[in-house]
Amino acid sequence: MQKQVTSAPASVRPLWLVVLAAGVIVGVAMGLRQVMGLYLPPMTRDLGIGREPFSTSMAIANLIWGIGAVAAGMVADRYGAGRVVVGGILATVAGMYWMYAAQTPFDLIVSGVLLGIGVSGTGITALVGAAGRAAPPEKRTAAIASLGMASGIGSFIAFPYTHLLMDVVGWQNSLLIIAATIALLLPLAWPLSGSPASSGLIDRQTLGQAVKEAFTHPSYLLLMTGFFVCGFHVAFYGVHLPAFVADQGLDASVGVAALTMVGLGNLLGTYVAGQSGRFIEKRRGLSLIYFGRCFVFLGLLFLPITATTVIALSAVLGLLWLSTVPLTSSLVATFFGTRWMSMLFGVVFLSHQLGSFTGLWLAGVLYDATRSYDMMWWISIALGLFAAAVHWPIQERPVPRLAGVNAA
Amino acid sequence: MLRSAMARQVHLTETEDARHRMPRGLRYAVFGVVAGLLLGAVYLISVRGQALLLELSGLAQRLFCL
Repeated sequence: MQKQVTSAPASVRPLWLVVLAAGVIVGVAMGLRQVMGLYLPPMTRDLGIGREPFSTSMAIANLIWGIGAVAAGMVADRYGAGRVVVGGILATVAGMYWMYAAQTPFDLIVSGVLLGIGVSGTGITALVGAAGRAAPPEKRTAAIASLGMASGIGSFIAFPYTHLLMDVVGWQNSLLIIAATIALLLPLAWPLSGSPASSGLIDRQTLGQAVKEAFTHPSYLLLMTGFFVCGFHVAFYGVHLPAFVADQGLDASVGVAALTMVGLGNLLGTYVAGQSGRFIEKRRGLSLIYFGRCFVFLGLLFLPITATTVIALSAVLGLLWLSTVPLTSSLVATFFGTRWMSMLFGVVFLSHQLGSFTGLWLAGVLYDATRSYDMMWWISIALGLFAAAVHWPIQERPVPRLAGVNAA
Repeated sequence: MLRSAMARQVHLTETEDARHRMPRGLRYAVFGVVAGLLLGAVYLISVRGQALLLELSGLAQRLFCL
């Protein structure tokens, strides 16, 4: 017997309201996640502690985000994203305050745990299901792309504004201001609240059944494999580009300009990916994105490395940056419906995070061994071709269970 | 009769579509705010980008490249 839904299901609210609320939350959460690194130098200096506790704290936050995304997705899919958002915001505010009041390395670890839980509840992985459920199938990819763009905007603007804020009011006060800003997002949980609308056979699927179905579905496994490569590429490029630029004898400002172009290109690319469902299958779009990235990496290997080529290639890579997110998450909904969408996308996202870690780690190891990034560019090309190949055979259609429901 | 039922259905779909679309004034306001924030960010990056990058590259090396 079904439980009575006590508040209105998300789908009865206008799509724009759900997407706007989710977009603002995702933008702030993802921006916040990016800026924590800025606090490393002043905190370690003023607190008189080594860099390791801070680095460990951030690593823990990333790890908890990856695992927490699956758990938060489960809760959001079962009870609605509103509760998850409220929990995420409260954990983030607590984490920021703990960081503000930190005196010992242990305080930083606690802060990292709370911030990891916070971004699990407010990041794109938790809210992708809310947007996916609120949108009709033909608008789903575009709705999720809006969240991707919000995430890109948040990440892009958070760095310079936080840097300025820290200069003006000091790092401790800036943490309080950011915490207060995040607390102001609490009312935005309302449009996302309420148990997800569901019906018939789709609703009766349990969590265990959903997991079993997903892990025995070849196309889902291919999608998960491909998303690993996405994480590998973006983390390696985003973190190591400044060092690569310096190695080529270019000014540091070229690295700044290149990363800026990645951020701006990402907004356009994500928008186009959101609209691409009208003229190309999602799996083919993903194959083309990964294939396109290979040309950028080839360019960095074979073109003369000047400021112009680095910035131009970064702009192209920006177009292909996180445009994978709306296509990948929409494919999850295409396979299994939206009932457990956040949770199942959370699992795929774990693969992305694993790819990020691998890309960053391997780049460091290979650079230390060879004093060059050439090997990493070749590995990135090989992985890009591999990802393009694994997306091509994906069967872009619902599982038989949903096909039966639709036919009925 | 069939025609009027179809017309009613089309009208309902259009009403539903309009309900899901953001009101025009709000849409312009959102675009305006986002554009302002982005332009401000680009300006800040252009005048303070190097300092930002130096702090971040130090962090990245500490986190992942040791």
